[in-house]
Amino acid sequence: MNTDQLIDKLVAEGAQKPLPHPMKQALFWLAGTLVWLAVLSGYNGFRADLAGKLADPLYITELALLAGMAFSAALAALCLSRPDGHQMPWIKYVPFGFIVPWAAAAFAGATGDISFISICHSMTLGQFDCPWHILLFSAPPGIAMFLIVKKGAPIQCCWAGSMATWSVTSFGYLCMRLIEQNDNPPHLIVWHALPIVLMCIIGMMAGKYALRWR
Amino acid sequence: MSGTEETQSLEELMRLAQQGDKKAYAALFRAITPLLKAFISRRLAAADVDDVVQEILMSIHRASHTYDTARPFKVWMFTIARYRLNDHLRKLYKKGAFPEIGLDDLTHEISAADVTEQRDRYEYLNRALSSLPDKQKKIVTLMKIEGYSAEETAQTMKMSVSAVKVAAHRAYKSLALKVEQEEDQ
Repeated sequence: MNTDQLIDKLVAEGAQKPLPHPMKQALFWLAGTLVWLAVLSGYNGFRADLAGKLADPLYITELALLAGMAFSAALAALCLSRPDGHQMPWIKYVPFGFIVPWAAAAFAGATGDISFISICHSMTLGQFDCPWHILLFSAPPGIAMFLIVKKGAPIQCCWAGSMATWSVTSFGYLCMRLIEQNDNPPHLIVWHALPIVLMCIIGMMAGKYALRWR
Repeated sequence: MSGTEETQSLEELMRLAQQGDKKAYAALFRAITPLLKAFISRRLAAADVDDVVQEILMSIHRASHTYDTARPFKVWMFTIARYRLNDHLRKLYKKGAFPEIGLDDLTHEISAADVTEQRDRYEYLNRALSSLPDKQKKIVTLMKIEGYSAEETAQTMKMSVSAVKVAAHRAYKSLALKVEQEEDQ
């Protein structure tokens, strides 16, 4: 087939309708994710001291920063699902901007010991139910996010995969903070934050294969 | 080229195509094919150009829903083109189309005549360059031999960028003239 014949064939098929703007897609996905997380949180039951915690500005700030981190990562993943996502190179660095303020809000008022020894001790406790819950909370919105990103034509697959995973696991973390009555910093670092980092690395590798535009 | 192509930008043609205008879609493909051919032919052997251009056209068609008309079309198009070109090169490397050549084998491949010819060209260029005024000679050496940008050359020479560009342009002109004169002799 020569180029002219190919063009005729492609023209006969016609161009596809444009995808909604990434912000619209992100809000649509967020609505679904919030419903899923609300159902799961309700099923598991909120922490007993939630009413008291909601009066704590640091706790509210921590939740708000987690939500901001999760949403900005979702938006970055969706922007990266376009081939020319590199025109906004800053978008994938926005979620990183939330890390330090979030850590400050999460651990500033912490009463527990954040020493290296206590973190090592926390590792020996084997509280695998926390990462398991985060994974459970994250899996369905994560699959939805991967499918939405794959609908585009992602060229920076690793970035798109890690951003998609980061967004859903951050929401998982947020839910765990609403459910689990444990504010011990070493526990939060070892059994909440580190599994998220690990999941993001796995998401990055999964993105390389699952999101690759062929 | 039809009137549509002349008067409408690629962005506009793609916007119309996304709304179902097949004429605009055809005009868009006909307008971008020469651009893609020029882009690919600078990077691949002539035999592969048509195949890769066709692959890119198909990719553009498959990704047509990801184009945002508020953004420049060419950036979007060339990103896809570069991605497909890299894919093609990866396939070629996997097939072993570019085998590694040992240094010893290479020495046998280069004949004494090649070396002499290269040396002649080098001396000829050197002669032409040394006939230029010192400033122009230095600018050409920095920009064309050592690979500095006009901005970097301007910094080194303590000149403005536009002055460097003008001097470089004059130098290329007089070099071209010298080459013509040499060929006439």
